[in-house]
Amino acid sequence: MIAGQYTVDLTQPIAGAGGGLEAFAVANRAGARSGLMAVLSRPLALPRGTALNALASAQVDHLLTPVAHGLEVGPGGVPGWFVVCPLPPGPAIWPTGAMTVRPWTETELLMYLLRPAAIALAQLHASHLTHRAIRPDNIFRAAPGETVTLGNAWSAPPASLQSAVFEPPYSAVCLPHGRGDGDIADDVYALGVTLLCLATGQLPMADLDAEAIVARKLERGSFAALVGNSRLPPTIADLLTGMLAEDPEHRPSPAMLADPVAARARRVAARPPRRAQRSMDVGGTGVWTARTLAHAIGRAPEQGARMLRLGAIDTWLRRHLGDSGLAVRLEEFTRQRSVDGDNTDSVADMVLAARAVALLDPLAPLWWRGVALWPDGLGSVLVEAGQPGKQNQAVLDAIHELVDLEITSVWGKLRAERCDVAGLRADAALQRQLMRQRGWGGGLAALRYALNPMLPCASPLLAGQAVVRKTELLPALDAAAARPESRKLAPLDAEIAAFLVARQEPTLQSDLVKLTTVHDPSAAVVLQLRVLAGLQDRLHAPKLVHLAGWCAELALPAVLVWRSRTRREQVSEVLPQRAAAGNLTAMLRLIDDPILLAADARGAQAAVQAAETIDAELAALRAEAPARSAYAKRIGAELATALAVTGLTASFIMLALG
Amino acid sequence: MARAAKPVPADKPGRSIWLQGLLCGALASALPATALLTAILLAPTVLIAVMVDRTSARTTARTMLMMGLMVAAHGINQLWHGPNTIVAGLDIAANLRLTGSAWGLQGFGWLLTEVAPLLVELVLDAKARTRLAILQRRRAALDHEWTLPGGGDDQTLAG
Repeated sequence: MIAGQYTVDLTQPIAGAGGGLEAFAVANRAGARSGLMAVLSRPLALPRGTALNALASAQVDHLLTPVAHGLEVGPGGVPGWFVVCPLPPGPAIWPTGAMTVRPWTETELLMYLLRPAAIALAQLHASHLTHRAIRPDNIFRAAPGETVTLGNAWSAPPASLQSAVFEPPYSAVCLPHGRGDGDIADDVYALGVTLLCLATGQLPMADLDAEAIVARKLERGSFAALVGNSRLPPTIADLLTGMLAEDPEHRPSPAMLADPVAARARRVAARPPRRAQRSMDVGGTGVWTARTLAHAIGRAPEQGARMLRLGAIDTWLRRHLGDSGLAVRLEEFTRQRSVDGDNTDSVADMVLAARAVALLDPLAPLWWRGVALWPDGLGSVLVEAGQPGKQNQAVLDAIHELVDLEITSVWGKLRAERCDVAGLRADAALQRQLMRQRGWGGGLAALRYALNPMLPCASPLLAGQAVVRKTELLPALDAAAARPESRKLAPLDAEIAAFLVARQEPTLQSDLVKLTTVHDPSAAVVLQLRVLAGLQDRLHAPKLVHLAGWCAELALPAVLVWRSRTRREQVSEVLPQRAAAGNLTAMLRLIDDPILLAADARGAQAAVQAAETIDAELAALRAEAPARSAYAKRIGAELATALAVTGLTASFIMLALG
Repeated sequence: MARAAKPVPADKPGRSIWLQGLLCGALASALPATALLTAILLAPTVLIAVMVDRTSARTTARTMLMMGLMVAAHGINQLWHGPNTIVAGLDIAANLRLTGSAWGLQGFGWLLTEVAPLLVELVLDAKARTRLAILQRRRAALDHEWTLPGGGDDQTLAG
């Protein structure tokens, strides 16, 4: 049951309502139809927690506003995230899979699509949110002549389900999960493409793949690439000119679009990009403009950096593009590159390429080793690239390097007018610090959990149980401990450690660091128990009988640490009793009492000394046997003499006395 | 020129025995009855001293001598208070009770000298064994309680 009042009916899927995701009917607590649906997120494509929380108490017009969300058992018995939102008012305005639809009239476009969508976006913008899933098959209406409703956009990472056509080129070029929340202007762009689709009744560039779409948009500009030779009503064409502008700042705001006449009147003089007299080949791509050059360097950073070092790009910028100012600034980067490292230094080449891209095209996303993403999409990319069994090691390596070198901070500084440099720098430093932490509490795993508050813990111990909050961990471990197969593993592993640190349990950090370095099984058991007992204390967790029993089984090496047999027997006797009470702290006190341990060590030391003294005395007793014999002879003789003297004296006295 | 003083030679054992013999000879010449009676009554001591007891301290002979003297003193006293002749001395020596007592006491003295060291050794050994047992028990208890390295010493006094 989600939020204690909604039950997902997995037997009633609702086709086409989830905006590309599975949707199911929802019954309320009484079991009646509620007019709601639950959209199921794909595994490891997490819902947008920030947006869901912000919209929990809000009502946005013309939008399937989420009303609740939570983990529930999905199809196949696998837990999944469900977002509960109202049912769409009708079918999507563009049936899934359709190549063409009836073109809408200008009035329909403005009154029933643009205006309600703009109102919804304006309200989202007021809450500092974006939609990032605006496309014709995720917009619904009850019937022709009715206003549209924007579909669910909260069950997947932002824009991850968008095709390249509906995204600005600088978002489309990124990894699908790395597009980030973006800006409301990106929603305006997607709305513009949707407007175009419905105005023409056709999907633009339907025959091209994503890479070709991005290349064409960058080459020709989005408006020219998307509209092509289509004939559009003048009002729509004017609106699209603004909505499809490359620079987000040149696109009209949603509030402005709510009044199409005013929006049409707004014209921003955007200078077309300077085109070179001759193209240049970078990484197999012919480039004509600074923007396409940046894109080519981003895609092929090794070749781009080499050409930068050799001065080929500098020369092309001066001679063929005629932008000597850009060439001079690039030259500075190249000089800095020669200071950073020699020609074989791959990292220095990557830094040079990333800086060159940011300079050549300030609108471009962050490029690193051929991977493009927006910094706020880092968390989703980490989850997607690190999914068990299907790891994308190249992307993980790139992110590791990117975080380690705080590249987002470097990138932000180069485009300071377009981002919050201080925020990026602070985030980069925090991420680096977390990733560099030694032991189980650091690394990419901890970063993954820190950047994704809704990511369930991926420990194999918790298979079948979704643990998202730290308060859910101990009960889940207790349940896992009840399964015999779980007891072949340790109750604490790297995933759980990373999860705990990321969920604000830094007090465990020192023990977690020690856990990775300690090789003594008894010390490892004590550390694990200390971490779990600390959690039980701090989180006021209930009795953990199974987990305590498991720990008691594992604690045998820790019991053997005691030197005193009496204490060992005492601990062995009391430990199961405390385990039965489910109190980890009491168990820890029993096997890891510093005062008693010190006393035990002192006792052992005293015993060793006493044994040495006894051994010495025993050896002396054995060694003195011959001396004792000689002594006995001498004393015996003396004794005999003494007796004789005594007798003689007595005899003389008797003689004298007569 | 004064001559350097010659070192005084230490008394040789042979000379001491010779002097003792000379002294005994002089005594026998002066008091023949006493010497005869003494020789008869202390004969076992003389035999042991000459033939068996080769130790420098002559502990056995010494004990036997003192034991023999306890009875011999009464015989000599009797001789001196009588005619003090050889015949009288022989009469006294013929008293089997006196001579038997003297010889018996000397035998007891010999036995005492032989047995006393053995008894002392037995007592000392018993004491040592008791101590050893206590220590071994204490060591075993320590080993049992603390599982000490190299524990479990079960050796006896014999090793």
